[in-house]
Amino acid sequence: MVFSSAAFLFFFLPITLFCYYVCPLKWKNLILVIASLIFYAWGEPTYILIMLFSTVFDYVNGRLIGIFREKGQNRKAKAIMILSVVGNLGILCFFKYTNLALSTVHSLTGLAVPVLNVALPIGISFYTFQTMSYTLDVYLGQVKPQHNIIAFATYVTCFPQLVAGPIVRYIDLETQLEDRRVTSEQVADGCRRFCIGMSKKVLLANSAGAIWDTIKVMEPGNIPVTMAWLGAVCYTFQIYFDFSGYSDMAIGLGKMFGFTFPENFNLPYISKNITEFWRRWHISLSTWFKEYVYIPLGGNRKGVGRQIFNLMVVWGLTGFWHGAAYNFLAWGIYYGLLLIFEKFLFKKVLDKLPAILQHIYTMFFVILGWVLFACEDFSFLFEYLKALFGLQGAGFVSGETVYMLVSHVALLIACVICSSSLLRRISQKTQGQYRVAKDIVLLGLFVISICFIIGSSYNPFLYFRF
Amino acid sequence: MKNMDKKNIPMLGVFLALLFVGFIGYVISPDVKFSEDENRYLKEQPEFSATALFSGDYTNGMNDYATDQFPLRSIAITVKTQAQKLVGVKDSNGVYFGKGGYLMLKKTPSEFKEKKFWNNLKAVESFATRNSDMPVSVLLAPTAAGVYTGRLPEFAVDYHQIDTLKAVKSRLEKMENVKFIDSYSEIQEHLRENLYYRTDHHWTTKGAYYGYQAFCKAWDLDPVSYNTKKVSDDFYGTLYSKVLAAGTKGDTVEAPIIKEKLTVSHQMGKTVTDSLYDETKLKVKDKYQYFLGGNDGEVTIKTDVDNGKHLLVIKDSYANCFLPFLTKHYESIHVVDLRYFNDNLTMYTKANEITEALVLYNMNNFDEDTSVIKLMMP
Repeated sequence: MVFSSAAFLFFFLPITLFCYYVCPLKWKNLILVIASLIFYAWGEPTYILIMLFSTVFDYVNGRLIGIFREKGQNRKAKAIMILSVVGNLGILCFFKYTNLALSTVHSLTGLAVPVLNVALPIGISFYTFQTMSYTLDVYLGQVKPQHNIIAFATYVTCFPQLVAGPIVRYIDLETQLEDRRVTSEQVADGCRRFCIGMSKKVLLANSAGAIWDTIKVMEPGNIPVTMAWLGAVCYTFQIYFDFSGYSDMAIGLGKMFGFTFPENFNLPYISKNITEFWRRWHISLSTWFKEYVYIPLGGNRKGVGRQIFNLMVVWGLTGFWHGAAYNFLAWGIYYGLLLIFEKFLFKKVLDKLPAILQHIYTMFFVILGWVLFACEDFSFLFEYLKALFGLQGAGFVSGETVYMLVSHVALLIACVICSSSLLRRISQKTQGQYRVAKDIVLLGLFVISICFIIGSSYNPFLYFRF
Repeated sequence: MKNMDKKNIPMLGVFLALLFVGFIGYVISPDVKFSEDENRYLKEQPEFSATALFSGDYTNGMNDYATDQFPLRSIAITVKTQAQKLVGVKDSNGVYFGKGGYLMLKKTPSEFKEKKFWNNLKAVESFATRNSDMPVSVLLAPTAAGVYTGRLPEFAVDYHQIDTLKAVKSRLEKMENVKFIDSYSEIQEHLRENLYYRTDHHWTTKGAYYGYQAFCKAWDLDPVSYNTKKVSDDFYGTLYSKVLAAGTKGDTVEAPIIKEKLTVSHQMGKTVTDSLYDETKLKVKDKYQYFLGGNDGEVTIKTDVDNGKHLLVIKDSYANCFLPFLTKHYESIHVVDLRYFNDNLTMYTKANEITEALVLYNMNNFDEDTSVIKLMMP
């Protein structure tokens, strides 16, 4: 189920909220687990078993690591930790990368390999990373093992962030699992956040995505430069508003149930360099890789050579995490290289440039990055890059481009404003004022979003693949 | 919930009310089977079973049900369209919001399927070559967006219909037994008239009449003039269905009054009537079906003309309101819609002693139709 669907908004959510609010405190976790399992089963009824397995597996692992640590048997604790990591990565790799591995073997060796067509369980990239954070942190002594399996299941299956994050580390939720209060203030804030996320997803991301979808199916040889950039910019907006909108909705829903999830995006498109961009984009994923890969590998403490190696490992993995196709790997390596160049070569020069040039530099590479991300087919990618840089001989602009620009100028302006810090600054300046007016605007956007959902079957959710 | 705070009441109240009222709305409002506005069947609540549940059919069915049976569905779609128009979007769902409330099908140069278009024309040419003893007319009717360029939204570019038509003309002129019917030349002299419906993708009876004039000019015939009758003035066509634009006025449907005695047989004689018009279709949403009763695979029209001329018409729906004008010129007219016609065309032609053929398609369909290619096969 996706949040931006009528089935979620008018069946799942009201029924779940009603049950959750009327039942006594000690039942709330159980209600949430049942609701989450239904939510998950909605898309993939049979894959619910993987999730249940994952829950029990890491519950037991966590308990065992706790017991061995208490007894001082650190080697046994380590063995269980490794078992947990291998188990989780095994599940993830099997379901996510089997198809790619088989087809790669086939195309490299020509061997007749069986085609398994393993379907990707929704959210598997997210919840395997979440449960791993738990066993790793129990092993590292950061958190106590959870004894209550319902509380643990609440964490693993928690539907608001199940499908597309944020990747909530157990450490961030530990106390909330057993003791959380639902206040009207918090629920109302949750509703506000949900309205914001929904509008970003439905009004901005889907509309920008529709433009990209029309451009990407054109013959690349006929795409003039301006049109190619319009497409790339629209995809850039689509992926940001889609993903951050979904995170907003997750955080808002979390609040409705009394949880405080970590933020996942912090206006990434205002960044002045790539390093800053990655501090602002998909924060929970970068944090995860930093905590559980980069730092354990030694981070920057073992010399420059090792640091560069570590960075490339982290970024290769980050890229591949995004999808089982080689363009995602290339996309990760692209960022690894950019970050290394930035860190060791031109950071000092860059910092002296005027802010606007820093910003143009960043967005140029970010947009190119998204083109790489969007094009799974390398030959299409190559053709599209040629179009971007005017090597297709299709001219600079066409009548059709002008029409598309004019027709969507309001959308593009709205996207620019919403990716800038303008609205945030206004809301901070007017804090505590115009409350009702602001709420009316948000509710209005929510109602219009509902109309858009109903009014269009066009509602694909980009992050399902990961 | 604790600390109920006044300042949060509006947000909480309205937000939760929307969800719960929506839920109750689904429960109490009866399912709508068919949406007149959208001209399609709506998904109803799926039946629950264990197999359906585990295969995902049930849950997918529920998703479709929830979207399709939304209690205020039409209003929601209208709000969407209006919101888009408000922020300057000039088209929705493949339909332009033209000037003066004109809705027009959108087909940009990059959406035009050039390859298929010329392949389809090749199929027509091969048909003409095979029947070299028979005069073949080819009429590709331009559509509203190609003709009413002044009514397109600012900066909108239609694919180059008229240039394409010119290219077709010069290609077909090389064939001896083929006549290109230059409907655009006739039509463009009457741009101020209502040649196309404002809410539908078809030409009006008037538009079709100028097509008929072009046909007569090509064959040196005297065009017959007709009195028309108004059969409906609240026709909301397919383009309206796609956008449900608020404040759209209904179209007027007119039909020429035919005085000849006709025998019209549909589907190889399955049903036989004495009229080219189907009065029952005036009660349905798609009133264009009034002409010929919609698109049947095969229709035979027998007139009381006695001139030994038997016409084969290979067509799409643009022909439906055009055919009445031909009834004074042929003893019989055999109409074939290749999308629904699965018999052997050569045998059909022989059996009906066809003496002439007319291929009539509209320019928005000719690059998409996948059945024209049947003309390649003998």
